[in-house]
Parts: sequence; structure tokens; C-alpha cells
Amino acid sequence: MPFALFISSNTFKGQLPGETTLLVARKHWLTLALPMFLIIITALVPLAVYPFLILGTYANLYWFLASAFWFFLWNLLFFNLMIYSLNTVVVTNKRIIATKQLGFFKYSASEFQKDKIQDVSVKMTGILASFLNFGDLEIQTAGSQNKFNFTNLPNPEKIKQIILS
Amino acid sequence: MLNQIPFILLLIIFGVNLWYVFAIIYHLIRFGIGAKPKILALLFFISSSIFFLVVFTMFNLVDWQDILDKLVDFVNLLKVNF
Repeated sequence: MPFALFISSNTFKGQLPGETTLLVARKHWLTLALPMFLIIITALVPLAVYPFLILGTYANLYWFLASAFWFFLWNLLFFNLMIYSLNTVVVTNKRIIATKQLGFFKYSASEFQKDKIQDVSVKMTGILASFLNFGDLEIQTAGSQNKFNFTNLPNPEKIKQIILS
Repeated sequence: MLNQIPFILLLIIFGVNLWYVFAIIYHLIRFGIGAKPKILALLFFISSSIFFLVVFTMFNLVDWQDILDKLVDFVNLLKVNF
């Protein structure tokens, strides 16, 4: 297990011989902002409520329950980080692989060959998307499932150029 | 049986959180692409270990016997009134 820390950042399981990773893209960090904000606000509740409580000898019980509550929120925070880091779009010299982690032990993966791509279009909507440079990527292919949508990707124009290169 | 309640509470808290910790680390190591998910897994493992120690320490600081005695008194009071 320790050796997994030293694997190149451009390799992945199922990589074919002769296949080179060109890009690994994850959603824009803004998709994490709302869940993180809500978790932080919720974590402040025990601290905000404490001055208004008359606990006496129950102070230790209160802090025990608060620490258990913060532990749970910490797990929830990393759950969101896990979902964020495992939702990836991998562009190689041969194919594009999109994996979506939907929860624990629940994920979907789709891939298609680069030579079957017919069209790649970028959609950026809103002021925030323009300032922070994120948007949606739509890829049209010649396969049975002919449209792939990837939402909230950072720098979508650059990803489009890499796909078409 | 009443004296086991704090221990059962601790088991539930640790059991649920241990499951979460295992599942998150497993997914990050197994399915993560590149070094970042693995580093995230390591950070999570270290921080969760610290949290385990903190929660266990706080658990030991609580006077559970006093709380259980007061709980029994409260239940008896309810029985008397109702």
C-alpha cells in the first residue's frame, strides 16, 4: 500500500499498452464550495449554542457529544472530497474515460474512442462561469450512446483542444 | 444492563465512524487516479486517528455513573407522576 503514493499522477487502472494519459480533469473546485460551507456552518453550532447553556456537571458530556458530532462531520467532509476526487475525466491518446462516483461502492464509468468523436462543444453560462473559467463539455460520437455531457469542468476550452489534438 | 449504555454508545459511535473511515480510505486508494487521492487518504487516516483519540479521551472524562443515576431518578419520577 505505501508504494501507491509514488505512482505517477498520469497512470490509472485499466490503462492499455502504449496508452499515454494526456489529461486528468476533475470538476471545478466551486462544486465543493456549497457542501463545505454547509458542513463548516453546522460544525459551528455546538460552539454557538454553548454560551447559552447551563451545563454544570454535564459540561464533559456536552463536549463528548460535540466531539463525536465533529468527527461525524469530518467524515462527511472527506466523503464529499472523495466524491469530488473520484469523479474524473481522463483523456488519453486513444480514448476518453469518464468515471462518476455516486456513493460508497456505487460508480459508473463510460469510455469512448477518440477516433469516433465527431464534435466537441463548450458551454459556459453566467458571470461566475466566465470569471472562474468553468463550463460544460458536450462530446458527440458515432457510437450507440452518441452524446456525452461533462458538467462544471475547469478550463473547458483547453480540455477541448486536448481532446481534438 | 444500565451500566453498559455508555459502552454501547461508544461502540455505536466508533462503529459508524470506523465504517466511514474504512470506506473512504478504500475508495481513495483503490479508485483514485494520480497521487492526490492517495495523499488525501493519508491525511484522512491521520486526522481520523486523532479524532478517535479525542473522542475516546472525552468519553473517559464523563462521569457516566452520575448521569446514569440521574437518569434512573428521572425515570422513577416519571413513573410516580404518571
